[in-house]
Amino acid sequence: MDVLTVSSLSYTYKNSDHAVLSNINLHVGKGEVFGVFGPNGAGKTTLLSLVTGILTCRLGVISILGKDASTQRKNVNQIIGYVPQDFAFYEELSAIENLIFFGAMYGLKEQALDNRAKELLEEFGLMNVAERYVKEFSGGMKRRLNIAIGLLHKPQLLILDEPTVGVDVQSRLAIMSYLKKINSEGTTIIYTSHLLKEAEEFCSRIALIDKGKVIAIDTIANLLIQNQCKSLEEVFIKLTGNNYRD
Amino acid sequence: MSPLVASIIKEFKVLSRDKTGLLLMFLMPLVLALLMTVLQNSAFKIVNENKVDLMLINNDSNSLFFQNFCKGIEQTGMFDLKINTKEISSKKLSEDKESIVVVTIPKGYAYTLDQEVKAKAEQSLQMFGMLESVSTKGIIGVKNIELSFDPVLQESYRFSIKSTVLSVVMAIQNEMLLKQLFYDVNQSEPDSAALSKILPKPLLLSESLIKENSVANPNATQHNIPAWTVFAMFFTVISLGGNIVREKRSGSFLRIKTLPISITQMLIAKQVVFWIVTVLQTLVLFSIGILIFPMLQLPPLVISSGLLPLFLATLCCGLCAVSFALCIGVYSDTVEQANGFGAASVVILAAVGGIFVPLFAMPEVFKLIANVSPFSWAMKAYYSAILEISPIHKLLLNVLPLLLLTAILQLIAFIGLKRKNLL
Repeated sequence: MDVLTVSSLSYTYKNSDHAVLSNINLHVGKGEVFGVFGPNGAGKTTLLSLVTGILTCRLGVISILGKDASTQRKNVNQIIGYVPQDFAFYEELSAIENLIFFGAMYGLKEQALDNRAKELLEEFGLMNVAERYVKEFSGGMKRRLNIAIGLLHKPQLLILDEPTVGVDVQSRLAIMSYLKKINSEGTTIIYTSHLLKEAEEFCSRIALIDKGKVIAIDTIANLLIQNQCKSLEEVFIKLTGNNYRD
Repeated sequence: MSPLVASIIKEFKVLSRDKTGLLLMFLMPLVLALLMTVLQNSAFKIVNENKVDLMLINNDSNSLFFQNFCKGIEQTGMFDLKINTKEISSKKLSEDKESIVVVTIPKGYAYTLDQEVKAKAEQSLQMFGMLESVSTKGIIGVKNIELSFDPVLQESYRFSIKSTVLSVVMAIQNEMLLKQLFYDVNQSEPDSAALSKILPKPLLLSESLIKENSVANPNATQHNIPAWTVFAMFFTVISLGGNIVREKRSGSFLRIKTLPISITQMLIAKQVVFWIVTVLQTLVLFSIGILIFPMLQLPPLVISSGLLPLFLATLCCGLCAVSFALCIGVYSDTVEQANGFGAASVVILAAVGGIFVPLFAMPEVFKLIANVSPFSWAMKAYYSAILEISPIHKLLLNVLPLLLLTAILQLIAFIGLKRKNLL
């Protein structure tokens, strides 16, 4: 069964007559790492916002593990974990307080939540700063905490919006290593990034979006062959052009 | 732990670490309440407790009239009497600013008054048919007692002083007339026992507060404690409005939208916490009014109606203040907008709502404008809770506008959240 199915999805923002997404169709299978790429303004964030429920789907269907995302939002939100590009936590709280709060929002109970929070702090190298206020954290530490919050309830579908932007090499390697680990354990991942080299190593399949439409969707190997390119970056430039897009 | 409880705990933690916000919500109204009470109380004392400095210049002899006049003036309890027996003009004294009221008894006043009284007594006896002819040489006319006022005195205050002095003179004149009549009829002076029997007793006026059920006297404390409590409640707009804007901008609101809970729960949690803050503000300010103000020689706060009406007023004011802050937070795009608009609107609404200056002291047009300020409604609710023993239905009528505004503000906030795709 597909974890995510998007059918005939279109979206236009209020007070605009320009469709940001137009007739998008895609599916993501269980255990995949599915990359969504495209130039700035292509519609990637809008697509992820619709899948996560930040925006309301008005035209088309989004189904997650067979559940309609429009009508069964609460159930769907229990399945997905979302890691936004912006830091989405409370800087006035400590790392452990943030994890406990967001864990409670996912319905995790006290002991299980406490154990899970400590496990994630350990995994992301934040255990020794667990009690410190997040506002005192470095950018890399904040990025790791941002991801840890999205993993609290062990989601079946993890959606990552540029998870490694602005972090040092050590943090990036640690993050990617953990993501590969949970993917190998069965978590499906949808991932966007502008780091195409990283994506090449990480994704099993990608969709290239431009001007609100899917212009290519396949495995990276197939895309390289079809476009006679040596790297994903070359494919990207070939299909979307050299011009500024934002 | 339920999401709502977790959210409330989270909000408490965030708020407890916002030192500036806490200072604004608790210390600032406390300082303002204390400062304004001290200032208004001293002004109130000048008008109500301090005696008016009255300089009496006696250019006449040390007559019985003069002695009775001094005694009468002192008995009014209104004046701090100073006597000057040197011949000096009242203008000169006023320029020296020794007194704000100068009463000058002109030379020969007692004599002319005595002659006047004798003539009036004879005229009266003749009218009653007890005397055939009037032996008076002719009425020479009583000289005027001169009253001079400091120009700063208000007209109503001058009139009050003038009436008091006049009533003292009239009382002396009446006594003299009765004595003279007694003498003319009996050819002997009346003894003091007989005189006291025929002298009319001063009429007594019973005094009470104008409002039915009023039990406490309005004073600077009774105004300032509820006034600055209401101000503090609405000033939570700085913390709560800013808090909502920060969450909207930080991305945590968006993350919450992806969680299996409703964002409404988050907003309820915020409002519950800030509503508790408004209750704590009331508790702190009212406790200080009751316990600390008397230690500072300020009038103590008296709660006439008991705790239930006070709690009801606090509940409704708090809900309205929190809803106002919610609205500001939802519609503002930046913290600066929320703080600027929030603070400015609170100060304006407070000014027209009778927080800085009590409503009764405001111009008529402002009394009319005050009717649209929730601060004025809140003050009415608190006044009925602390100054009167009101039946609960009367208090409910007073808080009804606040509850209606709360519902309207919640609706406006809901529309804003929907429009901004936050719900």
